[in-house]
Amino acid sequence: MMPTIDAALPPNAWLPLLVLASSLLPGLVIFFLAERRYWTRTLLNLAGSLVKLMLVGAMLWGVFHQQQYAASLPLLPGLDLVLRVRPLSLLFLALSAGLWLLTTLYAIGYLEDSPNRSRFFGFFSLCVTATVGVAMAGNLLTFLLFFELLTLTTYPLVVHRGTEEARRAGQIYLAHTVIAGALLLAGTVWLYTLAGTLTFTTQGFVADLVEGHRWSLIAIFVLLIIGVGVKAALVPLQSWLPRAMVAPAPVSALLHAVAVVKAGAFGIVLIVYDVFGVEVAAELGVTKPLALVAAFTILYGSLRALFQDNLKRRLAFSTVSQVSYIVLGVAIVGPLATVGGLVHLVHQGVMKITLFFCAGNLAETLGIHQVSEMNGVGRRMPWTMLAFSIGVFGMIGLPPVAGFISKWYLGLGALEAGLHWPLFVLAGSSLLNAAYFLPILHRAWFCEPPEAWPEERDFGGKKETAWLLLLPPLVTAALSLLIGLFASMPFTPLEWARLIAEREFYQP
Amino acid sequence: MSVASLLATLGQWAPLLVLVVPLTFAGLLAFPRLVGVIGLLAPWAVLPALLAGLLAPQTELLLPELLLGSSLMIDPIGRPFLVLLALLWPVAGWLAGERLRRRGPVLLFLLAMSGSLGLVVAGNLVVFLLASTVSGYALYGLAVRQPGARAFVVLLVLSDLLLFELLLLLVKGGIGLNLASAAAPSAAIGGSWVLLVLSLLGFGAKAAVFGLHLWLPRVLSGRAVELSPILIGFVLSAGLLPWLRLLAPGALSGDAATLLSWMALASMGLAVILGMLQGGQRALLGYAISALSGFWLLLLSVSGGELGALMPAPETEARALAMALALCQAGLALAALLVQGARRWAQQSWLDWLLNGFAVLLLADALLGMAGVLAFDRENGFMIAACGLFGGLMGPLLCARQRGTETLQVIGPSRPLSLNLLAAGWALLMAGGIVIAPPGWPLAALLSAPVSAPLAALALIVVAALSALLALAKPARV
Repeated sequence: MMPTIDAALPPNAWLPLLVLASSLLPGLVIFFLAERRYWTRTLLNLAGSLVKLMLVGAMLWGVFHQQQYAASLPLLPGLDLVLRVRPLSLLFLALSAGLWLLTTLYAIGYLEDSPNRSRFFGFFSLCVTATVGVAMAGNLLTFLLFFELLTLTTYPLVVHRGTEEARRAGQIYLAHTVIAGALLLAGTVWLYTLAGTLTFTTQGFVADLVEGHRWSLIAIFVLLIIGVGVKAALVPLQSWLPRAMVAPAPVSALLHAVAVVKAGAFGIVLIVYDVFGVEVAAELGVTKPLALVAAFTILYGSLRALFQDNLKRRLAFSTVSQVSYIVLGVAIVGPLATVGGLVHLVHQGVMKITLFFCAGNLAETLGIHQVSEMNGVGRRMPWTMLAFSIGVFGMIGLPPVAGFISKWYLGLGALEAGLHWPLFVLAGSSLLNAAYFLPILHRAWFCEPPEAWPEERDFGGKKETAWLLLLPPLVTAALSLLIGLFASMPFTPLEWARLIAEREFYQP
Repeated sequence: MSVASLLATLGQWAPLLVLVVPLTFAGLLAFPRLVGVIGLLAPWAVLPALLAGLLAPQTELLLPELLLGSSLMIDPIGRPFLVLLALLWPVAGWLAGERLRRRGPVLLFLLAMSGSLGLVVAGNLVVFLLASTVSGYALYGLAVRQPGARAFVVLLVLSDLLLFELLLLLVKGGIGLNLASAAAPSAAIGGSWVLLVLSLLGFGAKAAVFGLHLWLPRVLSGRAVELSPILIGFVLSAGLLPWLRLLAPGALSGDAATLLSWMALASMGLAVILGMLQGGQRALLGYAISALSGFWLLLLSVSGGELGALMPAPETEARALAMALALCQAGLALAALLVQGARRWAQQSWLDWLLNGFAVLLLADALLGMAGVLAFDRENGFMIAACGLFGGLMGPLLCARQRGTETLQVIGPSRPLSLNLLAAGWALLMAGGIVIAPPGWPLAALLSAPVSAPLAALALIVVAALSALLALAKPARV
């Protein structure tokens, strides 16, 4: 089946399809590569991620200059598979394309000499394909298809190690996401029967239905939010996420910063803005409960993180908390809160992936898995811990790291909406973040190191660790710092989020 | 490019250059071979600040693309603080000696330095918050092995949160965060209890005002003597300077001013009483700094009122500048007292006694200088009481002695002597400035204090004498 492209669009309407293909094709080829074809696999991985990054860069420039990119494939009568690139899509697309490159580099270093690498990188590429599909989805059906593809492609990554613990975590993950997928499908079908369309539209497409189908719309909203809320790890749907920490570090990074959790949060953004429209959602009275759920999740995640000794579990609960900042920003309803929520989509991704890369480095280099084993690790791995420290400061919301910008806009957005309670939530969360992150830094930098590390690997000479493991966290840490410090420059996530909010709230 | 235009450009960029030098040094630490050299040069990275404080023109540098839109500035009130920091940091480096030859400590030293300079040149409150974060956490790193470090970091987190809320509320109120023309934030804080409380607690934790002071005496009681000048710089620039900018003379009036005056006097009194009960001299000095913060708050709260509000802007600015100059003198005197590193009674030589006494005298002179800025009758009662209260600390400070057998780092007389001389020079310059100042020159404001200063001096001297006698009569704890 050939894609049909609107004749009025410029030839570069193929770009969305190329973006998909840039990870899909390498992924399919990698599946069939023998394990020993290290360089071919690496070349395919890197070429795919570089091409994707360049294509996304080109679209970023184009969309900024009012160009449109869309492609559609006939799927069902009256329902096409639509890929459409808008400013909101690009925010997520740029995040996933940029971080995919770094995660690929990291995974190449991390999985050196481990078995089943072709299988791993094959699913890895498919996972990113699904993620960019979610980002570019032009209607709810397309979103649903790629969203479920994401479930199917991440499950093998979660169980990659093949241990009993990994299989158990995978089952829980699958059970949660499949049930949620069914609810999402039910909500989508119900909505289609009412509205007759599923095309994402700025300010939503259900406004005309409010009068006659108020309760149906509320029920659909609940179904859709539960459907995506599992992946966004909203309480009480979050229990799969800490268990999935059994996966290798690059997968954890992918789950938390690039793909699954972020796709869930992005789904909530789409449902509120492009399906219902934020003002209609507020009129239906569904944004306030959503904000309360987000607030509860923020505090719950932080509280649970406080009591975890396992580093990755602590980071996982931190994700539960931090991703709900995005939901809170959306649910507060207002331009500034929207900016805060959207910009945190990128900021949290960059900061959290830094932390997971570092956690992976500690595990791979020294065999450190627990916070209580981190005494003095800053002296042994100063660059890794420097990157980790920057990520931590960002998570707490200290300037000039990116997290400060997110919290600033969320707080200001809450005040703009006439709400004071989110300020207490943000303050409480920041306090808890400080309480569970700062002791890690204290241990790492100021406590005496042990005589021997749990499982130290030699990377030759005085090297801290393999450079493929060290480079990605250093780059993402620097990014976390730079996008916070130079937040008001053109093309930064903040400026992009402002552009989206402006179109959502101020354009007719 | 002519020399004049080069100087003009340098002057315009001076607030940024002040920060760039220590930050560049910190960046160069990425190269292990340079660590030794950077360790040697680190204390002198503050020299551009000295030059900027003395020579740079008043300027505001707009950096709209930084953070949420930023600016840096050099203004008359910031100048004495820049000079003070430029004097204190080399002393700290001098005291740290070999400890600055390792990468970790020298990195923290440079970050704390750039943060504290940033506090002074911050042109808006977001930059101030950034500088406060950098200096505060780096300082925690330097003080981590001292008692009280944990209390310090807890208060730091809480304080930054409160300031974050303050900033949000200021922006929400349409007031803005500009410090270069802080009249609007001042008026808003003076007119709102919530903003006032947030600014008092947020900055108060860093100023170690009584109730939020727990970290300071304990950190000062630790063995790292090089922290003393750094901590004084931090208290003054992170706590007391923003109060001066935001609660400038004239900002507070009515009930808020009266209530705050009583609270400041009470907090100061409590700091004095607890200070007098301390066995160790460094803990005593910690309480003296806490009392100074209370004194400063009192000064700001009583210098407003209806008359203050009617005062012309140049006179208000002149008062603020005169107060800043006197505060910096007090900072230098306290640094001299702290750097002396009290030895046990029997080990003190006549030179120790002399240096100690001289520093106490300079501190008293600075306090009276601050009190002398005030000109209205209604202010006298509070200020005379405050000076009298502070006198209670002067006696124990004069009779300084170390508790127990623990020996602190032995410091030769050259460091306290140099700080004493700097403080004395500062006091002489101020006095000279007052005498020769033409009408309208900022320091001339000090002349307008005909009533309060002599009475305050009398109260201070009498109480100081009594407390000295009491301290001498008290048996030394061993």
